[in-house]
Amino acid sequence: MKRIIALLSFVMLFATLSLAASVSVMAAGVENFKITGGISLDKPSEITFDSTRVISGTAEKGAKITITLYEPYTTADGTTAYNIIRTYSVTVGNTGIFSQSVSLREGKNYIVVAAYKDGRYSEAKTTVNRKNKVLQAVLSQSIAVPGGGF
Amino acid sequence: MKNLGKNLLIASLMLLAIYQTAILWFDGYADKSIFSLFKKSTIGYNMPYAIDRLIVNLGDNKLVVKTDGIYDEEYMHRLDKMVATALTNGDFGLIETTDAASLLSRRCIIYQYNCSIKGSDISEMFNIPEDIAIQIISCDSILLRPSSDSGILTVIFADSRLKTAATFTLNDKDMTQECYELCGIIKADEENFTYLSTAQNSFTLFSRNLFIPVWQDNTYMFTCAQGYTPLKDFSDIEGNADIFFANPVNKLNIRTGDGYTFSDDNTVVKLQNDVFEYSSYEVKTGSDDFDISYLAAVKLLASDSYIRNEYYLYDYKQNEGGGYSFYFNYKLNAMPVVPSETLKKEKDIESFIEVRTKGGAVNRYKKYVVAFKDSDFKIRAEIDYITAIDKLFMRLYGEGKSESVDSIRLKYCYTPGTEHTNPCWVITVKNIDFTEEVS
Repeated sequence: MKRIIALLSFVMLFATLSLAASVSVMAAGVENFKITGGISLDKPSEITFDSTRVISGTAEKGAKITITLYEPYTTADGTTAYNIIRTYSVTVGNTGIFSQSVSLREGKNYIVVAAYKDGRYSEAKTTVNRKNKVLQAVLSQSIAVPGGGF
Repeated sequence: MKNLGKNLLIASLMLLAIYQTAILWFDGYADKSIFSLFKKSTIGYNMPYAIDRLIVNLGDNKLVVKTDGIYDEEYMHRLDKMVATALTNGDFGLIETTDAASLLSRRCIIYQYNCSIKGSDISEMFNIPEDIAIQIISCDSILLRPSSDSGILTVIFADSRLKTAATFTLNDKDMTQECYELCGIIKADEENFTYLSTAQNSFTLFSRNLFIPVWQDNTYMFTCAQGYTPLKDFSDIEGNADIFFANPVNKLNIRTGDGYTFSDDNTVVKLQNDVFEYSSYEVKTGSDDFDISYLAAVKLLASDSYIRNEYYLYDYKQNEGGGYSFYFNYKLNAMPVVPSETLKKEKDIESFIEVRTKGGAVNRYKKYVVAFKDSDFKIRAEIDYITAIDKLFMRLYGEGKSESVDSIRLKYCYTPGTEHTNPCWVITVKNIDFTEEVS
């Protein structure tokens, strides 16, 4: 009886350890993944008058980077859903860096930058709200314009 | 009392006149006359034809880059005046180890040079006192950084390789505001691609901050370059030679093989194998100061009407025995045009134009007689800077290895005999230039 209990305990311990290992592998992200420019991750959204942004970053060699722009909209039941506007893909080479110029639509752009490598996954997301250029001209005549760098 | 004042004034003027006469009497001191000293004090605004690119950092990683047509713009004169005012009236300070990202954290305008200029040479060119200029070891860019909230304009002489900087801080609300507004006036050469700063993106792959173009997609088409000779016949050849002779009518003219030699007692001008070469054997005893030498060089370039492209200072060095050698290349379509390594070896040149000075005058001038224009041929922009570097690393080191990149630029690298010249990526690793195609 004792032997059976010991055996069962050992099997349970082994199963637990295996599960923990696989969970830790799945939870591990892509190495060196970091967004270094083009979007600000300090805040959930930002406003711009720019029609394009260069999104740059680092990731381990061989990582596949996809940058997807979504148009958020409100459904009939009040939830937020997303239409895909466009997707860009690059694979990170020996340099360990990536950069991609993306076109922004007027209005809200929900941007997801995702990295995949060997079953590992990392992502960064933010919303960039592109305003009309005419509005920029009107604003610049009287008040400070956002995104001026000061 | 009244007579004493008048007498003192008269005595001073007499002494001045005697001094001026004495120094003008001796030929070697002609360039040290009072009039030339006054002129020298106004020279220190800028180095003409030296700026490689003008960059406006708008903040938020937004950059505007201008390469062509900078020198004669009104905004350049206004910026030059701001630099001169800050140097004259501003407070000096040193930053021993500078971080490019922090320099670019605020809105600024950047004069970017292709080479590092020594502090002692900056002293003479920009009219900075020598004891201050010595503390500026060297610089390859000048930043004008306005702070509109405090009314302070900071002019920074920075060296991106040494990572050092010297600052001149000027408290002037109007000038600061003017600089801030100029940031919005200067428009980019090219609307189809943007630029990023490697320092602002924390890319450790690069040994220093670089400004690199990024295009949106692969639909952009680059115009190729085409070389041609502006010397169509003998009258053009002779016309180009004549600028080097005090009295062109008296020169001798000899046909030598497929070239020409023109000469008089002190001057020889040769055209051989597409290289135009001038040598002067007249001994000049003027000053070998950097500013005098550089201005003599650019003055000669300005008088050579057979130079058909915009040029910029590519590099320079001080010669043993005094004087300087200045190297110039061309610009076309917002890109540098440079001789390929093949062409350099074949013609024994470092750049398209080389000017050597001694005693404050040009004593040697070497020009490769090809000008450049747009070709009818265009190529698609397919290989971005990251792919170009990846391809180079694979070629040099194989899988998994990389090195620090010192520089990467789009350039036209000209080799004669090719119908058109495509732009290519020129990547510098461990002081060696490599090229990768863009298409």
